[in-house]
Formats: sequence, structure tokens, C-alpha cells
Amino acid sequence: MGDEQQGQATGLVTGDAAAAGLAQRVEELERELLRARQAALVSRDHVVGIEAEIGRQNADILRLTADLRRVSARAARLASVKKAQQKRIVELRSRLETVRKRNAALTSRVQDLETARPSLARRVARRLRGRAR
Amino acid sequence: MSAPLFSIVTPVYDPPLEVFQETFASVLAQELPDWEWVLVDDASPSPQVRDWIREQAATDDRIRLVERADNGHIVRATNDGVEAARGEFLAFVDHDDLLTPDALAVMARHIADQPDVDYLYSDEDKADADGTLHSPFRKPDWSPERLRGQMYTSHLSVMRTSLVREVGGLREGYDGSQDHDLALRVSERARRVVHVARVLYHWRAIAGSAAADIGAKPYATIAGQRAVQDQLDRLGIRGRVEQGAEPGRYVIQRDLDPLVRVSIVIPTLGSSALVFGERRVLVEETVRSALTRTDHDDVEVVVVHDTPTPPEVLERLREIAGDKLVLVEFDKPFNFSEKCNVGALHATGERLVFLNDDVEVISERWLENLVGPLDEPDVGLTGAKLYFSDSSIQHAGHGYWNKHYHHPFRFRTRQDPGPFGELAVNREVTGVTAACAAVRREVFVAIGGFTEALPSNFNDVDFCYKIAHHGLRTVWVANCELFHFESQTRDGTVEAWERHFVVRRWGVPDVDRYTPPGLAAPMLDPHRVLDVQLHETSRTSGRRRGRRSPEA
Repeated sequence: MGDEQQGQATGLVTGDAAAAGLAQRVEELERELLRARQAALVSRDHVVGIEAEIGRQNADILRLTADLRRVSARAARLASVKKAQQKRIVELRSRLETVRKRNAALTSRVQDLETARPSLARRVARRLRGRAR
Repeated sequence: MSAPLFSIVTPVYDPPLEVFQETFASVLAQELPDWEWVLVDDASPSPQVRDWIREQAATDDRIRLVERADNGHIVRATNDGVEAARGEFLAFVDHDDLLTPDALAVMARHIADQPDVDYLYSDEDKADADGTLHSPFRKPDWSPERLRGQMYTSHLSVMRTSLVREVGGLREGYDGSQDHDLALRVSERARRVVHVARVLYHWRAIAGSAAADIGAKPYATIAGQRAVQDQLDRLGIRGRVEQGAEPGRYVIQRDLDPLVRVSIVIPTLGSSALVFGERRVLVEETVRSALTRTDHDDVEVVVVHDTPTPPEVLERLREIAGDKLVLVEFDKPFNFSEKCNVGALHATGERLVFLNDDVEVISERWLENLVGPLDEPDVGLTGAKLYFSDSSIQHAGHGYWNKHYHHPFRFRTRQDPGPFGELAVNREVTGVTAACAAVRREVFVAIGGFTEALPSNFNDVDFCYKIAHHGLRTVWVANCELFHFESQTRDGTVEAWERHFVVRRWGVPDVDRYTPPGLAAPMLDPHRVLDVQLHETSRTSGRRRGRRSPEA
């Protein structure tokens, strides 16, 4: 009887120890599970963050592309205006040159005329006027 | 693509002829020619206006006069106009109000941009009797929760004719709030609702009109309350509607499914502070007030405490919360985000509420009102109205604009309803503070909780951006009120890298969808104003002393 009781007591002790060990193991597993769930949460946040960055970058690309298109169109428009104006400048320069040449010729002619000897008729008239006085 | 035909519908009942002629001129001045105008004379006693309309209709076939044999009031008269309309869209214009010349053209452009739109509303202002324009109402983008709190879409409302007919037009018995009732019913079925951020309508504010004072028509607010309650019932939203702080504002008292478990997550260090003249352990009052001021029973309180938290504090928390308490020890360096995440992972509720440990719940049924809106699947996050200890507003939603993250309406008084009811009704916002916020568990997991990369600042801003990124609404709850004993003169220093982190993810804050900066101003901190005044006084007196000394 005594042996039997001792055996039962030993069995209880062994059972308690096993239960305690299992409980500890459960706790460890729970902690591990929690760490894994937290790691999953952090990883999910990271993914969402990257998605957000991609979205933001796409929006930036769209905006910049639109800006670029607008600026390029303006540059093309300005280049065309510039070309037209350059052509006009060349034409104006050419006309200016022609006019300057004509002007110079006329000036020269005027000077020639101014410095030239008076004509025979003029000289005769001058002499006649002098006699009359 | 050609513009749709607009049918302008105007019930007419004995307006002063000169006022009506101004309305008439504003419609005829429309830049867009594709409209018809259905004027329904509701048996006006004086023939003057009716005769005048007849004369105009004879010269412009876009103008049609429908004459009622008897006075049917606004609902029947408007419905007659809806019935007679031939346009694809209805534009509702009152007989004394004014349209801007580009009103219909702007609406047509928005319809062309978003062909599935069924309901458009614009900003509006008021016109005095002398024609002076004032009080521009810059409205938020589509906000279904706010529409329950007030008829904010109002003028100019443009609705797809087929949808208005599908919902049965205006309803009898809702006079004075018939437009609110219609907006609620149309928006429930609309594929898309668009806010046109431009004043297209001048609402005449003359004595006795609803524009000048909705309190002038008390029957209107009773009808409005009924219209909102009807919507809750139609949509299966648990709750009852009450009159708000001012006429035309409605408060919703939400009910929670008793079977839904709510987990309140509170990170703490167990610190004490002087509050209202007594030293208190902050977290104890947080837990006590949170549990006292709710009727919901299935509540779990998850307290995430740093290791140095005094054991007697934890003991008192056990006494206060009993078997509702879950204690989680946190032995890592300070990281608010991580503490919240750890708490959420220990929580067993389907709804998570994050509370700072330095708050005190003031309003009854705070938890029901805060958590209730999450029953709507497209609501991802809710937040509360927080006050400093002097009862000035600490938090009424976030606003992100002009390169900064703001607390709109900060430092206004508790009684202030806001310029257009913003502080008196629930409304959609860009974000809310994590000092008191509720989220569904599956949403929390789907967005990855709080980013642990931001241990101190802006983790809630990032959280709110994530909610919006997932296509969910954030609702600020006006009738969930708490004190937040955050020092009003707290050093708000933010590290540059924290701001860069948020900007890298979400871009630079530019324009807020729900809160116009002009409304939220001035947000002046009285303590800082006092500092500046003291500083200026000392400088001035210093200068005076400086001037005196040479004379001495």
C-alpha cells in the first residue's frame, strides 16, 4: 500500500513537471508566434510603404511628363518664333544694306553737285546781273 | 464631346419681381447655351411674375412655364419640374438666387471628365439684398458622413435626371429639408459624387430665408432629423439621430453590436501629473473613465507598459478593470508605434481603439460613437474630439496642406460649432491623431499597423495616409470627447528625417481634400501669443530704457 502511494506521488510529481515543461513550451511558442506576427506586420508596413513610394513616384513622373510636354511645346513654339524673327532680321539687314548703299550714292551725288563748277548758263546770268548794276 | 442638356428647375412662388429678374438675368447669362429652364409657378397669388415669365418664354424657347392650379409647396412644385424636365441633368435653382455665368459650363466640364458622375455639388456664397457677396463656403470633397450631420452639399446641386426619378423625386412631409432628404437618397445610389471646388451659386440671404438663418424654419430641422434617421434605417446603420448644437446640425448616437469585442490598447509608462489641482496616475484615470462612460460590455483593455512602470500602478489597474485587463510588458527602447503594434497583436477584439495614457473620457457612450462608424465597410479609421485641460480644442482632425501637417481649429473653444458646423458634426477628414483612434482589426493588419520606422512623430500621419491609400474613409467623431493632457506648450520639435520619411512615401502635403486652410485658421496658441507679447513688451521697454539713458 505504502509503495503504491509513493508510486502515485512520484507519478504526480512527474506529471506536474511535464505539465510545467509543456506550459513553458507553450509560452515560448506564444512568444515566438507573437514575434513572427510582429515581423509580418512590419514587413507589411514596408510593402505598403514601397507601394506608396511607387505611387508617389508615378504621380511625380506623370506630373513631370506633363510639365515636360508643356515646356517642350513652348520651346518648339519659341524656336519657331525665333527662326521667323532671325529670317526677318536677315531680310531687314539686306534691305538696310541696300538702302544704305542708295543713301551713300545719293549723298555722294549731292556732294558732287555742291562742289562742282556753276554751269555756263549760271555764270552768264551772274555776269549779266552784275553789268546791270 | 458635346455638353449634356441641363434642365434648370425652379419652383416659383411670389418672389419680388426685381429680385426674380436678377435670377432670370443670371440664368440667361450662362456661357453654356445647352440648357432649358423649367419654371413651376406654384399658384402665386400675384400674376405679375407669371406674366413676366410668359413674356420671356415667348422670346426664348429654352424657357418653359409650368403652371400649377393649386399651391403644392416646394415638394410638389419641384417634382412637377422634375417630371417636365427633358435634360440629362437637373440643376436646382431657387427663385431668388443667382448663378455665376460659368456655372453650367464648369459642371459640363466635370461631367465630361467623369462620365459616370451622378451627383455634382459646388461651393457657394451668400448674396445680400444689395448684391454684396460674402461668406463663401468652401466645401469638402464628397463626405457621406458629413451629409448626415448637415446639408452641406446644398447649392449648386446637379443630379442625373434618371437617378432623381428612380428614387422618386422629392418626398412629401420633408418640407424645409426636402433637398437634404433627396441628397441623402440620391447619394446612396450614385455611382460617383463630385465636388466642384468653385463658387457657382450665390444664395440670397434675406431676413426669413434659410440662407440667413435656418432657425427661421424650425419645421425644417425636424424634417432633416427624420431624413437622416431614414437613411440610417435604410442602410442598416445602428443608431439614432438627435438635434445638434445649432439648427440644421444633427448628431448620431451609434449603437454597437453587443457581440463585437472592442480592445482598447493603451501604451504607458505609468507616469503621474498634476491635473485639475490633483496629482494623478494618468493611465488609471484613462482606464477608469474609458470603462465608466460606455454601455458596451465586451471590452478588453490591453495596457502595454514599459518595464519601469511601478507595480502598484499595475495593481490598481487590475482593481479598476478586473478581468477586462490584459497587461503586456514592453522592455525595449521607447517606440510608440511598436508599443501600439504589440498591444494590437495581444488584443482579441475585432475592433481596436488606441488611446494615449494621458486622456480622460468626457462624453457618455464615447466608445459606441467612436467605434460604430467602423461598421460601414468603407470607413477605415475614426478619431475623437480632444481638448486641452482648459477645454480649448487640441484635436478636431488632421489637415495636410501647404507642405505641413496641421491640427485645424486648434485652440477654439469647446462650444464653438466651427465656421460651417465643422466642430459640431461628424465629418470625413484626411487624418486623426492616434491619441484616440479606432480601426477594424483586419484593416490594421492589412495596412501593416503603425510604422515602427517612426518611433515618435508622424506615425499617425503615416497611418492615416495608409488608410486613404487603401481607399478607406477616415471619420472624425464630434460626439466622442476626451481631455488630452498633452502640455499646450510642449516642445513640438520634429526631426527632419521624420518629415522626410513621410514625404518620401506620400509626397509633399499640398491641398487638403476636406479642410480648407482658410476655415481652420488662425490656430493661434494662446501661450505662444503671450510669449510673443511678453517678448515684444520687454523689447519695447528695453528700447525706452535705451532712449532714456543718454538723457540721464
